[in-house]
Amino acid sequence: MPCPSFTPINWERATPNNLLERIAEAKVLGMGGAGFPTAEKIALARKHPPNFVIANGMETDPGVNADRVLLERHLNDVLTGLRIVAKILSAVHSFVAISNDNTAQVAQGLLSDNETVLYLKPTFQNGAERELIQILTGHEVKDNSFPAFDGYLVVNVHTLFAVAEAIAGKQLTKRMVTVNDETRWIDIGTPVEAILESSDPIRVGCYATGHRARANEVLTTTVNAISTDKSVHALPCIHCGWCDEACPRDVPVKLLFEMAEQLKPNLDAQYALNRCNDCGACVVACPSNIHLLDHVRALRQRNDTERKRISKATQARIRVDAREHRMRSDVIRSGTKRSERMQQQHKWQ
Amino acid sequence: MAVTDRPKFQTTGIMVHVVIALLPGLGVSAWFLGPKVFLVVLVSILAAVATEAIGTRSVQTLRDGSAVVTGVLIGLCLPPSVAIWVPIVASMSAIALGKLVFGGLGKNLFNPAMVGYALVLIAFPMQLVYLDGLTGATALDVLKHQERESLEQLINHPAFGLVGAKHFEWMNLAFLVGGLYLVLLRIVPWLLPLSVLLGIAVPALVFLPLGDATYSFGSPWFHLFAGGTMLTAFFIATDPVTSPSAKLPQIIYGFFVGSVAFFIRCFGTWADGFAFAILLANAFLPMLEPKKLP
Repeated sequence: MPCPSFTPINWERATPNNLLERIAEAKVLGMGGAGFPTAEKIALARKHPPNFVIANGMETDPGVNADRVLLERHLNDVLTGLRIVAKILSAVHSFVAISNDNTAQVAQGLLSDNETVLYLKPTFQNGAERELIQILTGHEVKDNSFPAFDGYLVVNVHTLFAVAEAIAGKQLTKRMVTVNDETRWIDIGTPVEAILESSDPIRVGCYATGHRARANEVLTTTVNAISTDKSVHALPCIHCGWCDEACPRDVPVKLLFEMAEQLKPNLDAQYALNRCNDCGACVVACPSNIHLLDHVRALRQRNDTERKRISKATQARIRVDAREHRMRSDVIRSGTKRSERMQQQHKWQ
Repeated sequence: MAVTDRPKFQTTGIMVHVVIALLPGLGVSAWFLGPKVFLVVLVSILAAVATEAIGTRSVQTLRDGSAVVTGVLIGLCLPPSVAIWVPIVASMSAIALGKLVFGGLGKNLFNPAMVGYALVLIAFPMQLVYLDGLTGATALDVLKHQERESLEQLINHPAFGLVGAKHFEWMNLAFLVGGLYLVLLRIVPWLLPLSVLLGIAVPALVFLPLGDATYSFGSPWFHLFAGGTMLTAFFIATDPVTSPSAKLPQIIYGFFVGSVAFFIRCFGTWADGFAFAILLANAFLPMLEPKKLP
């Protein structure tokens, strides 16, 4: 199917509805990972004014530089995209969060009054959507709500670039991808094996958080990295505890790894498994190159299968037991609220 | 600028840094005890590596470097006057009985080097006495077999040095320097060696006023700079496989190792008690490690 060609739109004169229609027509998707249609996301936030737009340039995937390189080379286009989205929403204020010091300084000179740029360290606490909103605006999105319902719109910088392209009449056919250490433009839809030739298995995504490439897998809009899988050369676990130390959410990684190695489901571990947000800090910390996240994910999978197998009543029993156990243990103290967690020293950078 | 996707050290890198940190201690040992120290260390390394290669029938597990570290540690524990078959027996039993029977690196319950050393210590005690004529009886032997001696008399004994045991205080200092190197690189958690040192210094301080004109237990400084204190505190007690990784268990483990060694030194049969202290603490390790899930 040929790509639809658009006529360029002068976004400063166009109506918000026209701009939103164009974004929907160009099928712009969130490029930060979730792949949610951007037009729908904007429309959702539009129903809950007053609006704040946040350009998320915080790149926290270990070893990945795609967003940073994009910001260095195409800062103006990203800012245009931000202004287009801000115009659609008649946003009160726009924020740019950048994990690249130099680019942040350059951006400082390009901003108008109702725009703020902030340099933040690329840590996991800074990168996540809700945490970012709290850092930039001080507003805490409740756990049972969504940022869009509170009027906040967090958009990845690559998505904003795609928005600017769409308004300028171009469809995005390639994206910035970090291939091991090198970051470059790669056409969307390229077979993964054609991008990186290696004798070791390939991970789609960064080494720490990505998954093993499936057969005939191609590059999609949400993939920001292609990496070689080092974990095939893993050495035995030496129990150094660096994974536990690195975890920003205090998950007992070493313990979960030992449980996963037994190749059995373990429903007691469910609380710890849910607490893990797959950031990959443990994978990076491991001196033996063990892919701990793979083990955690495998244990999660086994638990899911197990929960489907056993009866509802047994599940409820396990849940109640686990809760009682939790109440008695000191998890209440370590299971802190997000605001407290953010005040903790950044363990990882 | 990006978040790094590599660990601060690879496992093999850790082992290389441990060997580098042991070099000053090795050099000072050779200076005082003679160049035969190098031979003993070399034989220990070769025996350990050969046992691992034969035991696993491959050279794959050698690349983590743990067999070399075990060999170096055994070589440094043994006095240079031993017959040359003693380091071979020690290294072979360390790798075979201390590591391979448990399933290899990471699965062993006891510190392999201490398993091998304790085995020859029990089986051939006469081989492990420092008999080179240069040092004579070590200060720890004097402490053990003293007859009605006060602290002042002990300190003036020829086997004693400035603060610790003659010659051994300088070896301890060298191991301390190497150990601090590992602590600064953050390969070794600082809490573990500190609690071992406190574990031996605090009981020594408590027992100091209990000694009188007829018997003394040695000063804290003496115990810190005699025998294998620093070697154990920084290199043996900190073996990640057989030591806890959480803070409180580390304090308990280290203090236990230090104080057991002190009591063996003062009241036990053996001159130095660190090998047995480590093995005892290893046996308690499963109790110390939190197995509880949140």
